[in-house]
Amino acid sequence: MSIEFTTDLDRNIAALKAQFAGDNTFITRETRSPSGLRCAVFFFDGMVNALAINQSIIRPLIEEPQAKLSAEQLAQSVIEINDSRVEPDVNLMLASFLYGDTVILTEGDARPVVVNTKGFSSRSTAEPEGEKVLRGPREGFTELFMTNLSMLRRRLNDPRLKFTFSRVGTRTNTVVCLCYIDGVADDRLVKTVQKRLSRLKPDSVLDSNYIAERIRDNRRSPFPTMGATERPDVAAARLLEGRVALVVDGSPVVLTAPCILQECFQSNDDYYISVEQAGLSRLLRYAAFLLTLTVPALYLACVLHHQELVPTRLLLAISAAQRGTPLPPVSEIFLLLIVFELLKEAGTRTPGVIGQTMSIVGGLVLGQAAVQARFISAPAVIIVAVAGVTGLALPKLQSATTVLRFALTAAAAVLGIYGLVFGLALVLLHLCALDSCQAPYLLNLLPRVHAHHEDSYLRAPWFQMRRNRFLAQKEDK
Amino acid sequence: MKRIAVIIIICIFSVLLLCGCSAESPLPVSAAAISRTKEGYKMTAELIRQDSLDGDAEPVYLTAEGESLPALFDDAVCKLGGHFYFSHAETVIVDITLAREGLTELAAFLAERPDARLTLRLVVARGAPAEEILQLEALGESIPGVALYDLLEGLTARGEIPDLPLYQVHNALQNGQAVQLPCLYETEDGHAASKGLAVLENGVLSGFLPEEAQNG
Repeated sequence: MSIEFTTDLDRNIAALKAQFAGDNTFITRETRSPSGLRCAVFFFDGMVNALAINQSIIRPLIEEPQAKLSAEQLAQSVIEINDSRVEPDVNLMLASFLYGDTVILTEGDARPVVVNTKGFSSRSTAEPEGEKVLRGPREGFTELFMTNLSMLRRRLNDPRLKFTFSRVGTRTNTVVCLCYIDGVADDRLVKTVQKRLSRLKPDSVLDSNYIAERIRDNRRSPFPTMGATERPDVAAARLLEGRVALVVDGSPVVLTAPCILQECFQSNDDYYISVEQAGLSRLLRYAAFLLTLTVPALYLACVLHHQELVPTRLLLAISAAQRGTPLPPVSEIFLLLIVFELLKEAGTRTPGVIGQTMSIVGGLVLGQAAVQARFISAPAVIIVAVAGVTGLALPKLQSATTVLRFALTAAAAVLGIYGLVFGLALVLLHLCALDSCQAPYLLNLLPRVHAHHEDSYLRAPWFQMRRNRFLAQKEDK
Repeated sequence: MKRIAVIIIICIFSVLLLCGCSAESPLPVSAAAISRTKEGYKMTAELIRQDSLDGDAEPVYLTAEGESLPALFDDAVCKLGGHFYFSHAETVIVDITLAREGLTELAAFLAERPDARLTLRLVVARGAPAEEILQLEALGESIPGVALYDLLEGLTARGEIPDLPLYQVHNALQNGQAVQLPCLYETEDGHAASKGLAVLENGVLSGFLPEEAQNG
């Protein structure tokens, strides 16, 4: 955009109108005080607080006794809003203007005054649907940038909490805030993330995932190497642990880095409920991870290649169930895995009650009918249901478990237990090779990279937690 | 590169589809009776056939013969077109003639077979041929071989017969130790039951212990 303001107000008004020609939300309000002061107020309808403009900008301008004022005088003495400034940089002025600020131009001064009058509507800070807790705070991030930052600031009442802004996206010009606690987060980590952010040259950023996929390590890995949360308490906890957070304007999802595998087994309320309950839940999630990956693969390996491993009566039961079904076990399992993913997808995308109904109809009625019609064998339905349900216990690893479940099942179908073991070994090797912002992905889970003994496989009670930082590479300054 | 990826994907998909070809249900052997004949060995294997839509399994019997033990099993494999599935066999009944000749070779042969369970139980048929004992009607169980295993497990659990799975019998026979194997006979109502113990010394049947000894 190339606008050059002059001291001629009419010309400036014409230039701005030409710039936003065809945009019906662009409003220009010219004012003239009895003393002869001429000003023009520009804003976008729907993005501003109209009451603030009327009472704190237009009224003072109309009642101004002086006939001529500079931009500084307007900003400092006339405008009755706390955040008003002279902005000689046209690009910065336009960025603020497009984001709900009001621009004031006055006769005889080429510099615009930018006043913070943002007033667009927003969603409430309700608890995020995907990260509900049994007990604990129920506040969630929203799409409003400053509100999100305020939620973090309110929780971390520490002067060392830093918010560093940058803009990403040549068209969207989205504000991204790098948050960290100085002295707690490692300087190298902060610099790494800053460097990666500065290298970004996308044309648009409409959600934090636009950034996450670009700056995360091992971008092809199904395992998440960039954390994400919609809860301010979780983001604050991660900052306290020495991580950094990225708040992206317009997105309720806050990114955190580094992200380690252990984090994927943690639940939001692990730290709000009793240590015993939290420990049990975490053990169940470890078991769920193994089950969701291996159950279909083990079933196929046993049924196809290692029938001697199956107890005789169970083998007979499986054999009886398969009698009369048209598909071999491999096709049955793959078909059901795909149907399960389809049902999950449909249930997620379908709103409210219809989604629940669809899950019940899909899961129970279809499954039961398919077994009764001898289209699918009952053991295959049970196996896929176990794998699917256990997979739901790990929402942060869903993409990884889905991909790996298919891959391991295919390996086991072809090579039996050997294929499964080979596949699991490859997964382990991949995990060992992963890192996230220079932190090993298996941090806290492998003995040699034990950084935080009090919260590794299980968490210690709060009275035994001496160090809250998982990186713990430096002490508080 | 893309072409190679497509070829690999097609290959994987084809292999996955072919996995279904091996999915035909084999007929697992639940028990077998081995006896000595003039020509060599005779084996009657009880296979479990599961082709009823109601889920009921029924036994079928296969007879194989061979001059030696490997030939005997080879004959069984040939008769089933390569699908002689011995991994689920839990009981092997031997007749008195074979027991008198010696069980060291049989125990060693079974212990070395990769598809034989090391926990299977050797029993001696008494008063009737081994194949007849095997095929006697079972109480509360459609598969006689499975019923025999349950019977032996129950007796072992109650301490009425010694707990001697195949590997222990094999070890004892290899070391020249005496072994006591349970005996099975046909009751008056036509069922199989355990009675007494067959004593093997140096691998050869040397006599029977009475029923009282079994309980003690």
